[in-house]
Amino acid sequence: MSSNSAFSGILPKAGSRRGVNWARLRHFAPLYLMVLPTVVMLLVFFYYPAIKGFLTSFQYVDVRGAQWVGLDNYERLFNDVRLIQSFRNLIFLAVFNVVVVTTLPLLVAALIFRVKNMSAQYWWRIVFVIPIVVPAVASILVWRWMYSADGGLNILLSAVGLGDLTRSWLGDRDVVMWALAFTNFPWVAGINFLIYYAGLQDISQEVLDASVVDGATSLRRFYSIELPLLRPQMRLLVLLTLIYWMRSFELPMIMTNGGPGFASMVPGLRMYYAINRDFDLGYGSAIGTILFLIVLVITLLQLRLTRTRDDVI
Amino acid sequence: MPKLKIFNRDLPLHLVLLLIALPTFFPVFVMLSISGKDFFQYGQQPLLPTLPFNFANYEVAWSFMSSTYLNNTIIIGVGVAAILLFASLTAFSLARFSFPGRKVLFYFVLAVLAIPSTVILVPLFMLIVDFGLLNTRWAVILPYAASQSFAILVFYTFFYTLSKELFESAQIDGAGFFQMYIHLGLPLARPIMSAIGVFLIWLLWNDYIWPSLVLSDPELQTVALKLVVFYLGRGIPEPGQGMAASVISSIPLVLLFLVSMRTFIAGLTAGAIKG
Repeated sequence: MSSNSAFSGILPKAGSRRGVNWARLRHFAPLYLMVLPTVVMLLVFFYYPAIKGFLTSFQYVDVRGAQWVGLDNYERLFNDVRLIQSFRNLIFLAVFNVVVVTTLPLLVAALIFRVKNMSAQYWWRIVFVIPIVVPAVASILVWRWMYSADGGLNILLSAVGLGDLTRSWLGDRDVVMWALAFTNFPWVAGINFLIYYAGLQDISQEVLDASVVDGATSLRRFYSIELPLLRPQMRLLVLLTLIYWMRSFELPMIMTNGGPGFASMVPGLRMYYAINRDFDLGYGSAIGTILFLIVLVITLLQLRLTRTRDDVI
Repeated sequence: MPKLKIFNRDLPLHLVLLLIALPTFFPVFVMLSISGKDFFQYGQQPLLPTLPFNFANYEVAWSFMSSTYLNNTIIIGVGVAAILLFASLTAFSLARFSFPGRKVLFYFVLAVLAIPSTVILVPLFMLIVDFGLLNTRWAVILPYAASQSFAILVFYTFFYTLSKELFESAQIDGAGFFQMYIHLGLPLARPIMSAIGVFLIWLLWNDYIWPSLVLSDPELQTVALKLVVFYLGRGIPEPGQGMAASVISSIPLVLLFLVSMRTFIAGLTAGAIKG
């Protein structure tokens, strides 16, 4: 697609002199008005806070005002054993969920795609979408019950004769991170499998038919055709998963509050308490800046790995 | 009997899918089952459903949750309407017309996608405090309304693929940019708009962290926030009451899903670009 083919604006001839062409700008004035609300809102609620956050990370802030303290906040950050622990937890959750997102939803999408009866295929899709009508915090609260001392998991374990294994899953610092990671098992419901499924639908039927003619087994078809062609979806989901875990902390916040001790603390939650409990805004901003840098690096790596959609701009 | 044969061939698939679906639905089952138990029923049989179903739990939970429905309606209603309006205006301008600064604006919008909302949690909180908006609905509505980049991206892709001829004839008729948006862009964009709208409603309904930071006034709290407050607040509820509140928090999304199943799925898939 050539870059200007879609445009139909009446384009007044550019002035022969270099510089601002006022006639042209006046002609386009309505367009500038149309994008103005968005520009103002992005400036006020994203760009300004992002810059302000970066600056605040070099300050000490209390009720009397802000004071420049140089790299103090970052120094504290790198010497804070609890924070280092929380980054370790974050990496654990992120890696665990990357493994999850590249396996189970893909498996379910491929299985549904193999159902011959189309209406059965449709209904299976619905079945695996339905659970997302339960708000995230509500399902976290249900899982909190599952892990509690007299909760679902212990009841199930006792029922099958594994009573020895029962414990307070969220109160035990050795298992609490695994408990968090296993929340929402089997991790299929929702958007992830829909993306794989949409990707499978995009694979041309001829390719699939040809593979059947060639006598490829279902498993062979998966490894040789579907898996390679689903690589873009997989990369997208890995990126989204990583960013999701960098930025969200409802799960440890509602489940354990970061406990026991600091065994399940994550940086985002630490940042939240810097605002809400400690009023340590400079330190919170430093954590925010570090998280932002991590997200930025992940995003840039992703952009380098994939071709961007240069054709639409 | 060709039908039966096809079904037979699929049978192993159905069984495996069923095996995965069961644990997927286990929490929903737990929620519904416990929500019908009074204190003694829970004590005797905490997991499996018991009779009679104790609706009193729902009365207690509803008395706590009822104000949140209105709050969510106002906050999400205004927020989503603003996103759809401003995002479609911006995307339409960027996708259909070549004007000075267009490219810069495009990147200006896209770059925001690299700023996850929680990363600017601290400064955004300071901003809301400075504006004097703490404990008002605006504290939630405004940042929501500003989260337009994802919607702009989806609208942009849609408007970009529209045919050129459509717009040329409108131009010959002397329509201005804004008229073209009203008479061409908006009607054509209706399906994609409802898909994005449904996705945004779902996304914002789920938001918990930001409201928990700026809405401490119980009268203003949103569904997700109040649900957590109910569970973890001072008066710890009976398990049945807590689960009933969880069910209450889901009902509007269940209804949304029922009336717009296809749109819902389309919106989720489109939304997956950002998630």
